[in-house]
Amino acid sequence: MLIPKILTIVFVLAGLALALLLARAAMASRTPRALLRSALQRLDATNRWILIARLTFFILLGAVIGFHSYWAFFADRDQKFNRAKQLDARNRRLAESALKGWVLDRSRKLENALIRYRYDGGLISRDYPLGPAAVHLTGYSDFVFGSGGIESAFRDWLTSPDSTYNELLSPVPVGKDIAVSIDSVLQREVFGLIQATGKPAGAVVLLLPSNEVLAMASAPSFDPLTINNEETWSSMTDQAENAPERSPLVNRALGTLVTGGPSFYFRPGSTFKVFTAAVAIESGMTNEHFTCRGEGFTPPGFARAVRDFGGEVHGSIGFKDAFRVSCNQYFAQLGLKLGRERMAAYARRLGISSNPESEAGRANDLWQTKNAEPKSFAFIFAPPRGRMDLTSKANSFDLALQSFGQGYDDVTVMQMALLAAAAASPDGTLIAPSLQPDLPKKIIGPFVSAHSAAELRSLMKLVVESGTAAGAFSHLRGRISIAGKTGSADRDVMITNADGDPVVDFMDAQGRPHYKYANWTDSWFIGFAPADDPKIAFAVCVENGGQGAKTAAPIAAKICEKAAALGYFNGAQRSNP
Amino acid sequence: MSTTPKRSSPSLNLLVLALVLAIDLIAFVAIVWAAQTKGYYPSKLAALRSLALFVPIIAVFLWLMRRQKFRGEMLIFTAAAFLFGFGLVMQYRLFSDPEYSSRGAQRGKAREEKAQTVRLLNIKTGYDEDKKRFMFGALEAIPEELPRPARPGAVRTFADILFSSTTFIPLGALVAMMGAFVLFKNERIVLWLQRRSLLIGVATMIPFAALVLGFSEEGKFLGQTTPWEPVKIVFLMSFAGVLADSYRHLARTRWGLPPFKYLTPFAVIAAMPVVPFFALSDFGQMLVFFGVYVMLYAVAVRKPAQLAYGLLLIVVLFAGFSVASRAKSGFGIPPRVYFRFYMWTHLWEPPQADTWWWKRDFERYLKAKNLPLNRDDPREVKQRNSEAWSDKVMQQSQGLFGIHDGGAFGAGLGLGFPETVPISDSDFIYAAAAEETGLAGALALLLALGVVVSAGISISLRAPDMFTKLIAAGLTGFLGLQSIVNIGGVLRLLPMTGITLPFVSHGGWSLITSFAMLGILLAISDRNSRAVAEKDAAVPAQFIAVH
Repeated sequence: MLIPKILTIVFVLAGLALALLLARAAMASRTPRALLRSALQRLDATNRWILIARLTFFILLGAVIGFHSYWAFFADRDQKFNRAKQLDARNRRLAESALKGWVLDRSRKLENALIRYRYDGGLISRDYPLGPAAVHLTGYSDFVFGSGGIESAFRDWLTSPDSTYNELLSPVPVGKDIAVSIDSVLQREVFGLIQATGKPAGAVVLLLPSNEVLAMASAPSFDPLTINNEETWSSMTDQAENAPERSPLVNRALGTLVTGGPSFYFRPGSTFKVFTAAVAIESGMTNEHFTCRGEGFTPPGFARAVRDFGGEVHGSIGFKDAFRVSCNQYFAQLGLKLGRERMAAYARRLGISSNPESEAGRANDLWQTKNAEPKSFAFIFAPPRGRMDLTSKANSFDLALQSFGQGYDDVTVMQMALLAAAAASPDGTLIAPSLQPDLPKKIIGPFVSAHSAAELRSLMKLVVESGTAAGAFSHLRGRISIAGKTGSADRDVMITNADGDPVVDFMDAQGRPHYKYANWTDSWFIGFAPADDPKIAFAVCVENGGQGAKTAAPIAAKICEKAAALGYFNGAQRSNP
Repeated sequence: MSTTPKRSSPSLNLLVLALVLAIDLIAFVAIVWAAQTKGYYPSKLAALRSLALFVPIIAVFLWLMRRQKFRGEMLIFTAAAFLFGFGLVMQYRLFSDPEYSSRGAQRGKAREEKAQTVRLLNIKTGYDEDKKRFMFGALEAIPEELPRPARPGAVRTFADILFSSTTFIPLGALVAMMGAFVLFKNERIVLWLQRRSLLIGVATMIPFAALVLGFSEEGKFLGQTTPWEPVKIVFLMSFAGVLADSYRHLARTRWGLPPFKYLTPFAVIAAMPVVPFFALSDFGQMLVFFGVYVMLYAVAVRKPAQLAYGLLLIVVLFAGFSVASRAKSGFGIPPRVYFRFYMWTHLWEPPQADTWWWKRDFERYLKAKNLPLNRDDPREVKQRNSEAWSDKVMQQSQGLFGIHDGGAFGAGLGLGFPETVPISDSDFIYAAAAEETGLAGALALLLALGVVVSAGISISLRAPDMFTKLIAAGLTGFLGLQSIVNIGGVLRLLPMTGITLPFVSHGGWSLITSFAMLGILLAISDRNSRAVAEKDAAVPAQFIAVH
């Protein structure tokens, strides 16, 4: 590449010199005025006018040079030009010739890479070895249809020239590689587990204490290489817009779209009792006994009652037991006792807004990131901010429901994983999650005191030992000790057909359609392991998976087994303290 | 005292010709080298053939000096040869690129193959050994070149190269130049041309108009060629002849208007190119004719008032046409012209989808790309409209992007992407040159052009009689104005027109016509020198009626 450039400069400079030589000769052999006048008097006037014509030509030539200079040096000051230049056909050629950086996993081994290039049949193409298992992390990359995930969030880094790139030898840059905190093997396992349920699901696994993301999976999923034609693209984006509950473009672990932008929330169900319990412990209100009745608990001034799952009745029950067996009525009453303001204050510590109208939006500052351009990263990976309604408009019934994870509670799976991580942290602080390994941990703020966190941990240990999750983890007893909380989130879901249109149940007397609803129970489990010296925290949510112990907890058990097998519990894998 | 003006020394001209050959050789080497990094191999034989074209050029130079005993100014020939050489370089660059020289699906494939080759080069130079081993298995397994299916027609034989239009056209142009020179050196022919100018004009016009009106289809005839280009010269000559005869009478005005007896034949001759070129929708040529004719009238008659009348007439006509076209009477300024004017002023902003002159192109785009459109969704309509517009203005916008990327010294020969500019080997050759050789290379081109025009004006100034004076000025005007209109269109100084750059564009008849004009100018230059020499020798000269 160097030689042609040098030769071109020689060509240009020599050409200019020759042209100047010719110009000088032209000037030298100009017709002297005397000759013009003497021999050709009658036509002198015409000659003068011809000279004016020549002058006009040279003025136009000057204008040409001026315009050329504008386009060569100043055109990029015009925003319209810059915008139009994005459609320059040259960009495509540069993109097709350039090599973006590879995205390696935390092991930095090439065979575990998340995004790389492969050589196949004479073609060098961008490859996503984990395919659908990691597409919500990696995103995809197509010249026409854009990119998503890490391809988009880290685009500036991945396209900036690598230090080994030799500008003189190669016409287009080789991009910088990046290592992310993901563990490829674990990622495959987690995705396999949630995909096997056949239901929409999301799961997050964090490495403690830095909250690096070890795995983040979402199902249903899609193969990133299929985004390369108009048909697939428009059908997928239409579906994401009209029927997001079915769309594989949604990252259910984060509540965002692979292509960037917020998506929907989940209701946390009983896993939210971890939060209420934490508030109670910190406030010293753990000595209460409340009664759990068959007819349910009716908040004062209301006619509707709060009931437990399957109509369970626990009678008069204390704090520990209520947590262990996940008693809704207890927590409803506890929440009312704790009060709106207290709950809102602790929710704020977790980044959950208590006024959905004014503080809704995305948690743009949540993640800790080093090599990504902040806005690009936030556009892809900032989850919608968790929210509750603890304003004066929320009545006692609302508060009661929210205390055990129903009602106006809106969270993401990541939010709940962070809650589990906060419980697992020795000093009860909330640490920012990160996609890059080996960054010093970034503390968002305190959640509860170290003492309260310890008590919370022992509660969660109880759940697994003898509580609602005992059955799911019994096979691991003695080998791995895990702590956590099950959740069964109830919600009424409008049934939609494949196009996202609601299905009509019946038409009423006035001719208005009534749509079909179904009652779904999302299966949740959040927790950390090992229970006594936490190394990982996780959250799993399977839509319509039934009770927490039924689907989500067994998945969490397998995740912990795999993490143990990979050496996360015996100190073989470490992150910065 | 000898008042023979100095002329540039023949040895200087010969030296410049040799140096032009040398720098073109350097340029060809650069192109071949750069092509390797993109994975294609331009034909070295074709390069030699192109460079060998300088042999007939130098031969013609020597023929002029020796056999014809040329006494005029050679500078114009040398400057034209410089431009020709630049054109050779750019043609080679473009046509050796497999993407530019193929069509349809082959184009996309060629583009992909080039990109893949650059990727392989990047991997070889930029990746560490671990990655290489991972991708290819072993370091030895990295291919030298990516395996490619054989492209049809990729290998050209010596005969293919020798007997192609790229050889014939320049040779034909030189022959045309020699022929024009010999013809115009002949006093009797020049005399005859002047005497019969009106007749010649009409006699050429009728079959030409018939041909054109019978076959016209948006300006292209027999494929993409424009074989009527040499007719321009004949039209110019008849105009110059009529004007040379009657200019003094035209100057006698009554309230600024010339007497009708002389105005009528003159107006007929002046209007002649308009009709066929209008039918051909070749508005660039019309513009050039108009400019040259106005200039010739102005320098001959020298009455600014008449010029003002003329311009007023034009404005009235134009306004009339434009009103007629807006009223959609089916007659008037064609949508294409509106489009070009709009593109000139608002290149980056698409017009509304239902604008009368844009509607049809928008529909055509949707049909060609097979895109359904939900017309009730204004956002989608706007989006598609924007896409259709970008597609339609692609030639102009891609050219400008290239000029921007070229900067001061260009991206380097063979290293830019002029293949993304449609028809960049003829209409937009300036854009291709600007992208790869930058402002500096373009300056060299413009300087040489300035020398051509300057020398042509010089020839016109020294002409002893009005007829040849006007012909020389007119031909120089053609060359100069056509260049300005072409380059101006590329740079958005003027609206874009489908006109070529003289000497640099080698497309079809453009080169032949340009060299024919050159031949005539050289003949006039030679005549001028002989006239002065004879006058100096005090021998009565056989002038054509000096007025």
